[in-house]
Amino acid sequence: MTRKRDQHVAQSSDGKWAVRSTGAERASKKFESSAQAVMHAQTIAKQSHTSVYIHGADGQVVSKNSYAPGATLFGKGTMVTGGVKPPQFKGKK
Amino acid sequence: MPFETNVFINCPFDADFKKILRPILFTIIYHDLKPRIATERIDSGEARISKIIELIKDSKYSIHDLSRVKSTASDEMFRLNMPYELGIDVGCREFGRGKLTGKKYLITAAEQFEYQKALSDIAGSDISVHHNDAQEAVRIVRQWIENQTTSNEGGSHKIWTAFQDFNAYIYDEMVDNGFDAHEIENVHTSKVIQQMEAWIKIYKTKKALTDDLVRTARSTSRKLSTMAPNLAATTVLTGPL
Repeated sequence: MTRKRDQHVAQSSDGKWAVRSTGAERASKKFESSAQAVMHAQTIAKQSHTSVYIHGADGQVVSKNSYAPGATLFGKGTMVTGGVKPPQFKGKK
Repeated sequence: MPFETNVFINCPFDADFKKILRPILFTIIYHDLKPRIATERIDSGEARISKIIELIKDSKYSIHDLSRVKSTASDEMFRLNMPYELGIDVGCREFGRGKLTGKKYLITAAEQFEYQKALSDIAGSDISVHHNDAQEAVRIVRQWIENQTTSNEGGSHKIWTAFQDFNAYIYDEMVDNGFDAHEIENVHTSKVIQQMEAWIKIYKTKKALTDDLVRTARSTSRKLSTMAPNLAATTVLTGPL
């Protein structure tokens, strides 16, 4: 299971971009743009040393930024300041 | 596997439909049902149609998606497998005996009425449209399961957020185990089903424990407020003593 305070950014059915914690059913906050939502999620994740998952319309993870101690490109090892991004998905989702 | 909980999935298994298929599978498993797909035994040498007939006979429920009855390019053939297997399923219910007469099926399509041009015989059947939208697919499958069974697992938004959490978990698991982005995206459907089953089992156990703790805490708080209103107020305001 992912950590409790990991943040998830996804577009909700009302068109707004929602930020919520792992395990939560409700969004902690909603935004008009994805950029605003990601920025808010990153602020929380940096404070709690957790991760931000950005989900596509199909629910899959399209990118992840980790602020956990020891996070690297592939999730383990030494910490990279400012978060990391694994390779982006290519092709049709 | 038990007939009563099996759900035969008759849908496209191409990359484009994956965005609809995975949420459908997750919703089915979330309701303690078992999705059965024709590709679940990839090493089997038996004829595909024999396997499909066996799966149809073994499944009380089935979901037939007719999104591919229309070709999308001038040189592309429309797909006949799905209507063909729907026909077998309908025949199984109509001509079968015993438990087979109680079979239930859901027909889904990408767009309203589009399928009727290719398969007018099903006009009048109950067909749900997902508009190629993953959340809508969760909504219609959840509603159908709730109507067919006694299962009550909550609303579609609850299932959708759990599906996102599952995807995050699997993403981390696979990256940590050395899989690249292409491999993560192209996991075989039968493997995805196994991953979903394992994750949902743990998720529900944890959720039940958390709900129990919350109920106990509320009950204790109510008792405290009856026995010693001032103490209970202090506890609420300052946290546990």
